[in-house]
Amino acid sequence: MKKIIILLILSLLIIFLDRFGILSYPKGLIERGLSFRINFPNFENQEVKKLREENTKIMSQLVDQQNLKLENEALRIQLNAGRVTGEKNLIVAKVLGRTARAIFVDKGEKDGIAFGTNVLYENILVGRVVAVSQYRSKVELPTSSSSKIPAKTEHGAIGIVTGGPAGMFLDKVTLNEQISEDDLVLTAGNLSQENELSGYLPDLIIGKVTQVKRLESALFQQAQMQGPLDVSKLEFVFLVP
Amino acid sequence: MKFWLSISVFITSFIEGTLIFLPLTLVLLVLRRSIILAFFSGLLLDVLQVRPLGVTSLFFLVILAAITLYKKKLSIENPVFVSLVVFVSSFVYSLTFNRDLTGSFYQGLILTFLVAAYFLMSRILTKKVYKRSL
Repeated sequence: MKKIIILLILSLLIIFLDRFGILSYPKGLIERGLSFRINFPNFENQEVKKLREENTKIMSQLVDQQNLKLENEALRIQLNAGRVTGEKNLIVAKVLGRTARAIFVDKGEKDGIAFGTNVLYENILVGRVVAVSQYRSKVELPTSSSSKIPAKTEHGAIGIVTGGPAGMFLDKVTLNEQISEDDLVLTAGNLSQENELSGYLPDLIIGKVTQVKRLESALFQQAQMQGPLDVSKLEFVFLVP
Repeated sequence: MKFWLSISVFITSFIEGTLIFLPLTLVLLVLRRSIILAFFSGLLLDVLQVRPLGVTSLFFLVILAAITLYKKKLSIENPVFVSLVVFVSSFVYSLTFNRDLTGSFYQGLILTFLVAAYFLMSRILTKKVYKRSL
């Protein structure tokens, strides 16, 4: 029990020090370290070790080349999508990890990323930065239940896109508005950082309507949506600081 | 044994931080009750999941402290008790860091099911080994 109490106090101390940025240097070092592949030590004979090292070097060069190719391709795609972001600079970020509700990218405060930064791929909204450290950011996907995006359909119906266990859906659409299957849903856009609904660029694709749920007795109608991107296959994304 | 446990905790932390949002590290810590690993894996998870440093360590240590306190009153090897602890702790953990009530509930259920399956499997295996030794 004594050990637990000591470590509890140490944890509290770390939280306190981190809050004031005192641990930013070692934290940054670890973050940068974890952005690369981790190599475990091996105990082989020297010749095999050397050959393996050479092999690894060649392989890593190949991977670098492949990454550059992917990055180039992604940049080319993004250049075509310039109309959405206008004059804003885009930051290319590598996807480091992903869960059902969020992705983690290798750009952070040091690259000018802040809370609320929009993340896109082509003209498609990937999500918004909800947590940021020096070299890493967490991007909340529209499928997350805590995500609320003001949206409009291509025919002008206004609502809020939110997530849940069954995927994402367009909610709070008044009954007098018309929504139908295959309607494109776009961000309504409100860049002022006033509340949880603001801070999105306008006219980014969120997804399309797959099913409309309309009850005459209800105040609002709802529509099930499907996103155009397979987030699990994303290698790079673009951040709009 | 401690080495393999450390490796397992490191791997689960990495999986949890990059692939799936299931508190696997928490389950492993509840099952093995290693305080030092709770502290360090919490720090690793904080870095991977972009959380304030020390928050997850604090959470893990509070859970382990609660288990240690109940150790004297209840048998901590009891599968029902461990499953209950896993459900409650993973539910609170997910709710704290993910703020999704329904998702947290389902995650708690999935992990409880996994832990129950683990106990069942280990019981079957122990019986088989015992029969063979006879």
